[in-house]
Amino acid sequence: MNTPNINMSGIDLPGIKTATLPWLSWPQTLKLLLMEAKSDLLTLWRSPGFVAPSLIFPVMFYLLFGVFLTKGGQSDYLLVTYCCFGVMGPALFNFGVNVATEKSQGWLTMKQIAPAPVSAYLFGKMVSSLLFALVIVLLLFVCAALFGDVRLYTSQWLGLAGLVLVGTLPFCLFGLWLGLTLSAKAAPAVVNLIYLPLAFLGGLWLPIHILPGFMQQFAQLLPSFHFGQLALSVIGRDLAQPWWQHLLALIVFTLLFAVLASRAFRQNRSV
Amino acid sequence: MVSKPWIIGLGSALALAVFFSLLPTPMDPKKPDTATTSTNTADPASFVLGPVQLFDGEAWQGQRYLEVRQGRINQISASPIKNELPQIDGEGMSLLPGLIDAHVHTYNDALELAPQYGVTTVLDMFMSAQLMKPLQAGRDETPNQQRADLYSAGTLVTAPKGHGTEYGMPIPTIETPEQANAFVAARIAEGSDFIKIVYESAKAPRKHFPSIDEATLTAVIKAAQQQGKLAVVHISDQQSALEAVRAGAHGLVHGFIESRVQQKLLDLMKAQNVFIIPTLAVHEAMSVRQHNAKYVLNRDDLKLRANQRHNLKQGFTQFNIPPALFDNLLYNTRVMHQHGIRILAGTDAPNPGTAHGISLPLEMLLLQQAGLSLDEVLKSATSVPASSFGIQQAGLLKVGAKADLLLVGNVKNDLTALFSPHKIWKNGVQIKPLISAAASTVSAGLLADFVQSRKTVQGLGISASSDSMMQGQSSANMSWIAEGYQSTGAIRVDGAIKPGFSYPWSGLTYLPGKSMEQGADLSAFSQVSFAIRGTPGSYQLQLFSAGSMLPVVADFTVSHEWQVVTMPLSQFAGAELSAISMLLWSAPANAPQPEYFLELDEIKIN
Repeated sequence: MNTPNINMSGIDLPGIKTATLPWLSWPQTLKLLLMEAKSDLLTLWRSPGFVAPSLIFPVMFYLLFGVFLTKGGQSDYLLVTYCCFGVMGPALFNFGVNVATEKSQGWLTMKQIAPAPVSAYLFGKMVSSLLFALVIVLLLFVCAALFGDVRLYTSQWLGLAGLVLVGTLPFCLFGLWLGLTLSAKAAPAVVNLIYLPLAFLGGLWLPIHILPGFMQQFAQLLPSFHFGQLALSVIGRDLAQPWWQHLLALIVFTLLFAVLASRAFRQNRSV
Repeated sequence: MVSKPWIIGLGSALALAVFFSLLPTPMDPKKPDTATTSTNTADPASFVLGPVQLFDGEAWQGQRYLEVRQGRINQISASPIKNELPQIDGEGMSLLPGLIDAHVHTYNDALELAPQYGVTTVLDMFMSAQLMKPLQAGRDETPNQQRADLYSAGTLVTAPKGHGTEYGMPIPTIETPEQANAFVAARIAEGSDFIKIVYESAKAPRKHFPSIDEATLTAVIKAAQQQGKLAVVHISDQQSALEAVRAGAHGLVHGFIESRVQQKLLDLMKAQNVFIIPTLAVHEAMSVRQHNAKYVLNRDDLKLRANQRHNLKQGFTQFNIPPALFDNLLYNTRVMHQHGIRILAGTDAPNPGTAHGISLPLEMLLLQQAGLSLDEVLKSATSVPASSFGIQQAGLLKVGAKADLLLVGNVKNDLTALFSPHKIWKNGVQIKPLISAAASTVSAGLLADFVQSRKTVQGLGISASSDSMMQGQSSANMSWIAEGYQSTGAIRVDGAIKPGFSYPWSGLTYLPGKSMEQGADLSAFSQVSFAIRGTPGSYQLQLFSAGSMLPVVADFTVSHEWQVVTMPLSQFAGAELSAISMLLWSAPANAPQPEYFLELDEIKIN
C-alpha cells in the first residue's frame, strides 16, 4: 500500500497537503494530528536522555555564562543567544537522532506504508519539538528575569519567543535530513558534532563581536549566526548588517534543507 | 460541549498570557545588585552617551544614544538608554569615530600627542622596527591607554642611500627584484602591517635620492600581495606615480605637486582601485606656508606642546617650491576625488610644518578646500582609511567596535570645531589633557663662565656632540682649558665635520633647562651672547625646542682672536622660546676645511 496523498515532487514538504486529505473530515484530521503529536511527545517524555540535556543545558549554560561569570553585564544579549541555542537542540535531536533511530527500528517504514499520512508523523515531531523549545524559552526567560535582571518590553519578550520558535524550522529540516541520512548508531555523535560547533561559531555562546575577525567572517556561512542575529535585532543588539539579510539567509537555508530532506525521504521510501 | 483538547489549549494559552504579562519590563526597577552596580560604576570604560548627532564614519545617523561597556560600543539606540551606568550628555554636539591619521612617523611622544585632537589610530609609514612591536600591542583589545593605536609599515623598502636612509638609523635596503620575496618576508617577520616602498622614476623631473628600479618595485609589490599585505608607495611626481600604479600599488602615500594629473593616471588609478593619501598639509608647509598660522598658531586657547608649535612653524625652506604649485596638488586631489578615487587624510607628521594630532584637522580643512564635501572629508579620516587598510577595529561606530570617540561642537557646519574637541575617548576611557612639565626658569645674566671646570652656572651642562651618534662621519672632542676670555677657564672643542649623515653637525651642545624634555623658558629674553675664538670661518648656532628634532639656525663668524658674539633671539624665528631644550654651536656642513677648533666662554642671556 502506498500513500497517495503526499506530493513528493519538487521541494514541497511532506505535510503541506495534510489539510486536504480526501477521506478524513476536518475534526478527524485534527484528531489524527493531535494523536501523532501526543504520541511523539510521550515518546520524548519517556526518554530522559533527551529531556534532561535539552532542558538543562541551555539553562545551565545561560546561568553560568550569561549571569554569574559575566556578572550580568551581558545577560540580555546572552539570553537571546542562549534561547537560539536552546531551541536548536530539540529541533536537531528530535528530528536528527530520533528519526534515525525510528528509521532503523522500521518505525519510519511503518509510518510510510500506514494509511495515515506520513506528514502527520512529521507534524507530530514538529509539535513536540516546538513544545520543548517553548519550555526551554520559558525557563530561560524566568532565569533572565530572576537572576539576570533582564528588563524587556512585553512586545520584545513575545517577539523573541515567537521568533525563536518559528526560527526552529530550518533546524528541524536540517535535523530531518540528518536523521534520514545517518545510521542510528552514528546519529547522536554526528548531531552533537554539528550542534555544538554550530552554536559556538554562530556566536550563540559568546558574543560574536569578541571572536577573532576571521571567525566573524566564517560565521556568515552558518544558519545559527543569522538566527542569532535576527533574534538579537528584537532587542537592538545585532551587528550593523541589515536584518533582512539574516532573514534571507535563513529562508535560503530552509529551502536548502527542505530539498535535501525531501530527497533523502524519497530515497528512504524507495529502499 | 467543550472537548478536552480545547480546555487544554485554552488553559495553556491563558497560562502563557499570564506568564508573559509577568515578565519584567524596563519600567520595573532593577534589583539592587550591589556587586553588579559597583563593578560597573568603577569601570571608567562603561557609560551611556547621548543625545548626540552621530556620524558613524559613513553617514550622519541623526540623534543617537550610545552605551559603552568595557571599552566597546554595546548599543546604539534612537531612544534614551536608562541603566545603572553614568550618563554623559552630548546635546547639540556631534559624535565622530576617533580619527585615523593615514600618514605619520612615530617617535617620541607621537602616540600620546595624537589623541589630544581625537586621532585615536595612526598609520605609520616608517619607523624603527624595534620600537614598533611593543607599540602595536593592545590594539585588538580595549586596554586603558592614553595613546593612539598604531598600525605600521615598520622599516620601509628603499634602495641603498635612498630616501629613508638619511635619518641616521641603519636600515636594510634592496637592490634587485630577486631579493623582493625575502625582503618582504623579513618585514612581515618584524611585524610590519603593510609594506611601504619609496620609489622615484628614472624619468622623474627632479631626482632627490637614489631609488629602486621599476622591476624591483614590481617585484616587491607582487611579493607583498602574495604574502597578504598591502603595498603602498611613496612618490613625489606624476611619472613615478604612474609607474607605481602600473606596478600594482594598492595606494600612494603622497600626492604630487609638480604637474596636474593626466587622464592616463586617473583612468589607471580608477581601474585598479588605487587610493591616495595626498598629504596636503606638509606640501602646504613647503610652498604656501599660511595654513598653520591662519588656523592654529594665532590662537592662544589651543593647548599645544612646545614641539607641536615649533613644528607647525617650520617649512621645507630648502626646496624653494613656488607657492603656486600647491594649486596643482589641490587640483589633483579634487579631480581624483571626482573620478571616484579614494582620498585618505594623512599628515606626514612630524615633518616640518606638521605636528601629531593637530595637523589632521588642518589636513581635513585642506581636503575641504580641495573640493571634498564635509561628509567626504569626515569619511576620509575615519571609515575610508579603516576599510582601505583593512582595520576592523576603528573608523566605524557600530555595536562591538572599540569606543574610540570624538565629541565635538557642531562639526556639520564647520570643520574648525575639530580644533577644540569637547571630549575624546580611547577604548572607552576619556583622554586627559597632557600636562607639559613646566619649562625651567632661567635668570638673566651668566649661563656659564667655566672658571674652574666645565660646570655651567645654569642648566644641565655642556658637552661635545657630533653626527657620529647617528652613524655620521663627523667628530668632536671637548676639553676644559685654563686660559679663558678675561677670566680663567674656557671650553675647547676639537672636531671635524664630514659628509656622511644627511644633516652633518659637530660642535658643542648646551642644555639650558633642568631636563632635555622640558627645556628652559627663554621667552623673557631678547639676546644670547658668548665669547668665542678658533679656526676662522662661519659657524652656526642652532636652537632646539623641547621634543623637536628640527633646529632653527643662525650664522656667526669666528676669528683667531676672542670676540663677543651677540645674537638677538628674534633671529631664531620659528623657535619655541618658551621651551628651548638645547643650544648647539656647530661647524657648518659646507665648511671649506673639515678640521676645526673652537674655544667658548661666558655664555650670557639677557
